[in-house]
Formats: sequence, C-alpha cells, structure tokens
Amino acid sequence: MPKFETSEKTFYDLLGRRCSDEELERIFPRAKAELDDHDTENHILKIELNDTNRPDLWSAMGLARLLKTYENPENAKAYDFFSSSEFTADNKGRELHVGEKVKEVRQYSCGFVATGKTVDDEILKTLIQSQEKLCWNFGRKRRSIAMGIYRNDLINYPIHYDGADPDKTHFVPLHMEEDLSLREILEKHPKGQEFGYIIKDAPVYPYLFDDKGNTLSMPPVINSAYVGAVEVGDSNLFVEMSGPGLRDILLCASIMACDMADMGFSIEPVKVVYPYETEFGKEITVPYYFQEPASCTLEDIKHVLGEDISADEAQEALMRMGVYSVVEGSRIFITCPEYRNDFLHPVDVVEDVMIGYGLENFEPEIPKDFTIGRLSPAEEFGRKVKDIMVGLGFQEMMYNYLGSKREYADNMNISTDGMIFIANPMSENYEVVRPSVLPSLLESEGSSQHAVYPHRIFEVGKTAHLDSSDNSGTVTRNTLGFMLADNQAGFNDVNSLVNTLMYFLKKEYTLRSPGEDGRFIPGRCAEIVVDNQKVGVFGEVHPQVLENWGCAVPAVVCEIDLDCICND
Amino acid sequence: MHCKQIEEPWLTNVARAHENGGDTGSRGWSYKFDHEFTRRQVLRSQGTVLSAHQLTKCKKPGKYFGVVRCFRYDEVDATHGADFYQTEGIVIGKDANLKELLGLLKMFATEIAGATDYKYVPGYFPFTEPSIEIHIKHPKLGWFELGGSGIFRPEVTKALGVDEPVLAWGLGIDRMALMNLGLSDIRDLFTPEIESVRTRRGN
Repeated sequence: MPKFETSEKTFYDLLGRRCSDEELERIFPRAKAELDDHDTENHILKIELNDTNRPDLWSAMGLARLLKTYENPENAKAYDFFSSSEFTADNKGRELHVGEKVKEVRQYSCGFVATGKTVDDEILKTLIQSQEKLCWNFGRKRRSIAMGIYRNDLINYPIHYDGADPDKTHFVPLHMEEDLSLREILEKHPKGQEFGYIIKDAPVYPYLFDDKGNTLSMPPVINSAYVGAVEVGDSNLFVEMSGPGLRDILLCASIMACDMADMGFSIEPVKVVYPYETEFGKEITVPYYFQEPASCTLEDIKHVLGEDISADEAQEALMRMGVYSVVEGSRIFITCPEYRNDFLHPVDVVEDVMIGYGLENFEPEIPKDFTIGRLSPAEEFGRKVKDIMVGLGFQEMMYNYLGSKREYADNMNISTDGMIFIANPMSENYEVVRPSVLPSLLESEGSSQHAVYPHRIFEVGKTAHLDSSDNSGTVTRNTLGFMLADNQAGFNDVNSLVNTLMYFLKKEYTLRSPGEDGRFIPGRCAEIVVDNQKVGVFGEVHPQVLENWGCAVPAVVCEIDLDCICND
Repeated sequence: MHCKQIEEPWLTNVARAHENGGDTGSRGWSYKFDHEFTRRQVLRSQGTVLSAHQLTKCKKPGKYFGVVRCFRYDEVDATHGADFYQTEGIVIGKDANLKELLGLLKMFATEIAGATDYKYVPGYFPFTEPSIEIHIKHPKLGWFELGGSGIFRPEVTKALGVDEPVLAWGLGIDRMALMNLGLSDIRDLFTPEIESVRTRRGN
C-alpha cells in the first residue's frame, strides 16, 4: 500500500484546521487512509492509503482535498486550467514536440508549467515524494509512468521528445559530473542500473531536449544535471510525464497539476504536438480532461446498498466525495473529477454514494435467504479420521506447508523427484511445497526429546506433488501422517495401528513390500494397497533419517492418502 | 510452471472483462490481457480464488465457506508466516446487499472473535465494490483489522455466469486463534514442539 509523509503544518494548513490523532483516525476512513505513525518530535504524519486505484489521494494535497470537501462540499475547488475536447486553454506559445522515432520504445510524453511559488525545502520534499509514489506504485516502477521536473527558466521552447542514438547522444546526468552517452548512463548511473531495463534493448532511447539542444532528461531514467536539477529557490517549473499509455500519463499530469495548484502554484498549459493522430487528436493541450461521464440508477443504489436513498441524498453524498452530478429521471450522471479515473462501472458510483452517505448510517441485517449447510465429504472424512486418531491416543499437530529441500529430501534420504519448488522463494527455508507429512512429524520428534515418552502425534493436512497428468501440473492431496516414537516402537506397533484405523474406516486393504525407500529400514516397512492402488506407506524410520533429524529414540511412521480411501 | 489450459468460456469472459468490460456493464481496465502469464501457477495469497471457482457451479441462493491455507512473500516473524490460514466465504442471492454483509461481519466480530467493540471501514480490493473492512477492539492490543470483505464486482461475477450479487469476505483466523489460545507469536501456533502443544489450553 502506498504511504506518504507530510509535516503537520503542511497538512493542517491544507485541511484548514488542526486535528487530534483521534480526530484523524475518525475522518481518515472516508479516504481509505490510515494514520500509520505520528512522529510528534519532528512533527511528521505518516499516512497509509489503501485504495491503489486512487493515486490522487497519495499526497497531503489530495487527501486534504477529499477530507475538506467531505466536511463541507462548498470547500470543493474548481480547477480552471484544464483543456478538453471542447475547450483549449491558451498555451502562450509553449509546445512539446513528440517525434516519430520514440514511438517504439516509449510513445507518449506530456507536460505543463507550474509557476509563481518559490520552492522551499518542504515543497521540494513533497514534490519528490509525489513523483516517487505516482511513478513507483501507480506507474509500475516507472514502466507505465515516469515523471521529471525541470527549471523552466532554462528551457527554450519548443521542447522535443524523440528516440535518440544511445551511443552518439550524451549529457551530464543528475548527481554526476561526467558527460556520458545514454548507454553509459544505464551502466554507470545508479538510476540507470535501477531503471535501465525498461529501455535497454530498444534501438533508440527516449530523449527530452529543448530547442537549443540542452538536455532535459532521458525518460524514464534520469534528468540532466543542468536543466533537470531543481533546487530550493526556483519558482518556475516544467513538469513532464512519459509512458507507453496516453491516458495514464494524462491522469498523472492532472493529479500533479491539481496538487501543485493546491500548493499555491499557478498552472500554465503546454501544447503537446504528435506527428500522428492519438485518441485525443494530434495536438493535446495539457493538463487535459479526458474522462468519460459515468452514471448509476437509484435502483442500483438500493440494490447494492439495501437502503432507500433519494436522488437528493445521493447527490449530496456525491458532493461530499467531490463528485458533481445531475439527475435525469432515475439516473444519476456524474462528472468524474479531473484527478480521478476510477469509475469503471455503475457500482463505482454507488460506492462513492455509500462513503458520502456514511457507512455508520447503514443498519446491519442478517441475510434473509435460508439455505441448508453441510460439510464437504473430504472435510467430513478428515474429521472422522482425526476422531479415530485421537481415540487411539494421538495428539493432533499443525504444521507449515513450506519448507526446505534439506528437510523434505536430504534429511529423508530421498531425491527431489515429484517435489514442487517455488520459482522465486523468499529464502531457501521456504522453497518447497510439502510433499509429505512425515518430515513435519520427524521435525517434531527431533525438537521434543524433553517431552515425556511415548510420543504419539498426527496431522491431517495437505501435501502437494508434481503430476503431469493434471491440468495444473500439480495435485494437492488430503493426507494423514502419524508417528509413534518410543524406545520399544517397532513395525508391529504401526502395523496394528494401521489395522485398527482401517477397520474403523471400513476399508479392506492388503500390504506389499515397497521398492527401495530410503526413509525406512529395509524389510521393516510396507505399502498399503486398496483396490490394487497404493494408498499409503508405513514402517520403521531409517536410523540415518533419525540421525538427520536429531531423534534419540526409534520411531515408526505412517502416511495415508485420504483422498484415495474417502468414500465420496 | 504453467497449467495446460483454463476452462472456457470463463477464460474468454474474464479476458474481455479485463480488456473492455465485455458483457459486464463495465468499461474494463483497458489493457491487453496476457493469456500466457495467466496460465502461470502461483501459490494463492488469499482464498478468494476458491470463491471465484465456486461461482461457476454455485446454487442460487447459496452460501459457501472454506478455511484454507494461504501463502505470502513475507519475512517470517511474530505476526507473519510463510503460510497461514484464512476463512473465506460467499453469499449469493438476488437481494444480497451491503446491509446483509454488515450483518455477517458483525456476527464474525461478536460471535466468533468475541469482540464487544467493532467498526466498519471503507476498504479497497480490486475485485469487490463496495469494499468493507471490519475492525475489532482487543482489550489489550487496541483496534485491529479482522479482515476484508465486499460485494464482488460485476466484472468478477458476470464473467463467471452469475447475475446475482455475491457478498464475499476473507478473514485471518490465525489471529483469532492466537487470542483464544493466549499466544502472541504466530509461529507458536504451528510449533513442532510436542510438549508445548500437549500443555496448551484455551482461554
């Protein structure tokens, strides 16, 4: 989940009042936000946002905007710098020209100018943070959105965005002093090493430069050390986004423009000129409003929320969420705010009505449909087996299902045949999905020598194996494993336990000698066969295996595939 | 590893719901659905996948639940296991709605977790809309989240052939079990030590 930090002062100023932490915790849920931490020493609020589809809320400005509007819809701000398909704002001659060559590697770029406010430490921190949140979380680690902020005073318009030769083009990247080619930057600059993979294999690299040839940046990797080095004291900024999807970068530009307007900047449009038609034309003046209208009916609201909400109440609720609406008949049409693009379906409108109406105003009810419940056959059979095992004096255990190759193969004296390995494990301790209950039981024995003997334990749980005949390539089985460990434990004990269990389960079975099985002492183990099918195995654990697990006394174990003998 | 094939017509329906909404009344997420990537096998990070599976063969009205192991890419510590239990449930009915969902969540909070104080909070999950979290107040630990819930998005249900609303929830029950057993470390719940399980008793 995205998290951001803000100084108390910035946030309370935006909100228009100071709040206690209890108050913040009370109002934050309206924005699906949580107060993660309040550093009272440094006066910093750390806030976590749960809605990954609302990147507009991932900043102090966006969050305060919603909370303030919720308290009083009259606080809603109108942003007058947007162009749309019907209206084009004056770009005062500022243009960004996109070239043909960049199409294959990173097609779209857009930007706007923010001016009239001097950047201080706090603003710089806030801008960098917004950039990180939008590009990392929403922009999929810069793959779909990258953002650059530049010193507008140093830019000679028009700006150009095109594909450039990775070896012949060069500039001094931010935080370095050396003039490097684009390819060298990917190799040598830390940001090049981190984000270079996005463009590395393309024949040309994305390159942003002004009309006099001064470099702005190599999106999505790094700004230049000159035009791209925004500092405290600057008051005239050019903000640019690039990515493979036009709507994503336009939304991101809208969010940044509204945020920066809330910070006190004045937003000035830049006209982006493409050499071909895009879905919004060849020329797009940015910030650009592209969202389509959305709607829902009063019946939708009643159906989803279970509450009769009038058109007036619904409109009022939407206003609190910053959403303007009109009613035609029983249908409510909304205008999506400039900084949002999350209305995919009428239910998304209904949710905003719900939050605006207040979740506390819905009375919980018990479902009216009567249905008959029952356990699944596998669960019922599993419980029967557990009851029998408890009756036989065994104690139920519960184990983790992920483990290591050492536990499941090496310690057990068997190969890894049929075992499921995780392609990207967190650590080699949790690399294999458990193929058998027996290693879990022996781990218990190895770590329980202080417990009074005999040890009689079992688990009914899942095991998993590779199986090429299954569509998924793997199967998961309900499995019983049990273990008896004691000075005197031997084949006869486990044989008699299996016999008792199968008697109560009403299963006819025969035994046969298994092939080579490194887990057991040869000649002191058997396979359980039902209807000519192997359903389990039991026997005396091999001394080498006992030693591997650090067990001090003999142990006998049994494992049975319950799915094979369940009378489904 | 990849599975061989994903059942039709569900795969086509789901792909269309993602790309342009298909017949679900949605405009979709406007991206190219990756059929190859979709066949890749993953360990489930939550039980919702089982509810989705059940939808293709559910009774209407119907109520289903499961207690299932889930897997997460987390550093193992006192509150995180590499695998853990979740309880997962759905209610399908033509009049199933938010108020009924709140009623069910209240039941989990008061009857199963034994909480006297609980609250509902708007949440976000990509597959439910609206989404609700239920939080309960523990006498010592304070407020904590019991789990997430919501009404499945029509992009989920309609693509799987269900026109009725479906209430859905997933609650982490290991936490409840810890409270009930008086334990404070999730690793103690899955302990291999025989003695500690032998002597364990509930509150």
